[in-house]
Amino acid sequence: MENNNLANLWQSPQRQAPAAIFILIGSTAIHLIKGFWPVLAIYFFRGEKEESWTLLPAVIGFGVLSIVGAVVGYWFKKFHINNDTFVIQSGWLKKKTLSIPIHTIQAVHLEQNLWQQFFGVARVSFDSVGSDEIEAKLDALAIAKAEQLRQLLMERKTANSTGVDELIQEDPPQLAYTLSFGDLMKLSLTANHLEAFFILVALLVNILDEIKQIFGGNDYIDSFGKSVLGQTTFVLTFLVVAVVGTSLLFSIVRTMIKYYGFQLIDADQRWILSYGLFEKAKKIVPLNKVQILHWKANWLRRKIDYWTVQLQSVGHKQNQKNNIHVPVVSFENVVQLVGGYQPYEGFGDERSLMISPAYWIRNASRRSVVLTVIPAFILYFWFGNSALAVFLFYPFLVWNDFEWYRNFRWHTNDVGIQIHSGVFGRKFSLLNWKKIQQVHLHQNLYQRNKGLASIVFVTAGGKLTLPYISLTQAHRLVDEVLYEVESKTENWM
Amino acid sequence: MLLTLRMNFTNSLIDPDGLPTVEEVDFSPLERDYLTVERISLAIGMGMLLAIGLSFFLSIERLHDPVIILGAATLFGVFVAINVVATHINYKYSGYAIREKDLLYRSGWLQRKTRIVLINRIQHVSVQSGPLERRFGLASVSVYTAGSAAADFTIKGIKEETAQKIKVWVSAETKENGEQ
Repeated sequence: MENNNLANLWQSPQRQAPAAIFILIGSTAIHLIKGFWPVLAIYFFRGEKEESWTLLPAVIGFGVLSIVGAVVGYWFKKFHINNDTFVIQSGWLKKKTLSIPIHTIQAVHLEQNLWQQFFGVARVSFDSVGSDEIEAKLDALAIAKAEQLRQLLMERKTANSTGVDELIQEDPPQLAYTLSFGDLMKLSLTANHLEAFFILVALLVNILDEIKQIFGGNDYIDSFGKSVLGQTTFVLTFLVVAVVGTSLLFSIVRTMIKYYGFQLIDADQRWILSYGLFEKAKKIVPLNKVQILHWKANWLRRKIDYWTVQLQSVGHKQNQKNNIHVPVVSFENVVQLVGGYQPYEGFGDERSLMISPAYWIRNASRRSVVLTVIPAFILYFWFGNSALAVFLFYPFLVWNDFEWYRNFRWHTNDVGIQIHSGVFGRKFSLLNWKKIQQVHLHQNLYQRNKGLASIVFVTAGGKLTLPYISLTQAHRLVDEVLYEVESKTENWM
Repeated sequence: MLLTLRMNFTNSLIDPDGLPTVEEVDFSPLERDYLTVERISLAIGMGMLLAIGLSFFLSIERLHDPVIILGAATLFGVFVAINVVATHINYKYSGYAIREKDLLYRSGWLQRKTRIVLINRIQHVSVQSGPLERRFGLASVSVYTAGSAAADFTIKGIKEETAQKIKVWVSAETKENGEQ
């Protein structure tokens, strides 16, 4: 009865919480400040106040328009549940109705950034089976209402679904894993500082560029640069220490903030992840929706036994910000966690297979040559014979390919395939046969001459490639995989 | 109850050598007219490229040098020749096969690909044809599997009626699989 009342409440179209207006305005303002901050800085700190400034009214006009847009966006965005469909209507001039069949909703995510925490609302987003291009999200719903919506959608989904999944008995949720402060420190110290370094450098270059453009003909920056460059050694040392130190600090703080209070709850074939200091995220990952599962560590993290589990679910996109990464301390914990998808079997025994050495030989004779010859040729016009130094990278590239080949191992079992690769770091990949949507067999000219082929397993969450195996082996594997998938009526999702 | 279940349970030995093999699949070739369509498309593409190249050369006076013109013409000729050969080899190699449980399509000239899509994974199917294809009574069939917005498997260069038959058959199979 209570559930029916609850369901009726959602049947009439309704707007988001009014806080959505402020959140939309807030995000627009942040975008404006990000885009125009050098202009604003110059405007407020300029010396000659009487100078005519025409840019500011334009900025204000653009800001006002954005605010009006946010209000209109809020007013015309409505959502409701119509039978078995979740409907989001939006737009004023260009109207759009997005209908999501509830049974296709894979997960409902609630997230809170600083603004949303301030207003006591949450951002609600949906993962569905079809295209991942659609923007299915609500910017602000009161926390209790958002939780209610999530619960209702997941209940409806379960009621509408048919298949093997529903026969599984619900286990009580249990806290599987948390990150202590020490773990967070380990994670932060071994994070990708290089990435943080490049972010900072890009930011710095962007800022300098914009300031230069604003100052125009003035050569303050150039003259300052020239005078400082006179003391080369001091400046270089200072710059290196400053940039490396800042990158390290930035990277540590960024990771600490992101994963603060991390916990993973294992509940009935689902992982519930929650983390974040300012921007709190709570993500539900149904394990049966995971298509390919990886875990990896760079060289340093491998040494301290620290791994990142990466889940490729339906609609996964490479290098996307919202892909799910789970930091895990110790290989043993990883093996325990991934067991729900496919038990990890190790690569020590004779079942583990290598790929053909033709992989690194071809790369050494073609790719690495191209990667050194072309830059050397281009650089020759500027640096003359010094450009030949680029060829010093050739042995490294060859060694890199050789090591990758030497470390690559794969084997199959009744459930799927397991792959192990890496040069300095390590990456493990698991794929269940039942997740496969398509199989591709590739052969380039070199492979054809050597009797080799590569197999690409295509799933709804991305691809997994098995490169450079013998053609006979490839044909046999493809036939067996097709038999495994086509002879069974297992639910792939 | 348990005894009944045990008696119904079978676990036959599967001989891997007895499995149907992709290697032995007899691929149907694409329609001969498709090669003509491809050649016309190539001619149009190359014509446009030539027009852009010519306008570029005519607008820059420094390039009005017989050596540069000859060099560029040779390069363009080689490029056209490679494309003509590639189109022909690709056509010769391309083909499709329809099996009970999957669809196969192979293509490529230097890099050869055989794509196999499992019928029990297909979400929907469509038939389409461009103006040139329609002129020759040809069409393409695209099948869509989960997780991608674009078609990930297209059988090109087949007769319009064959394309429609494939669509009807695949749709029926997909529906049947969905109901199971």
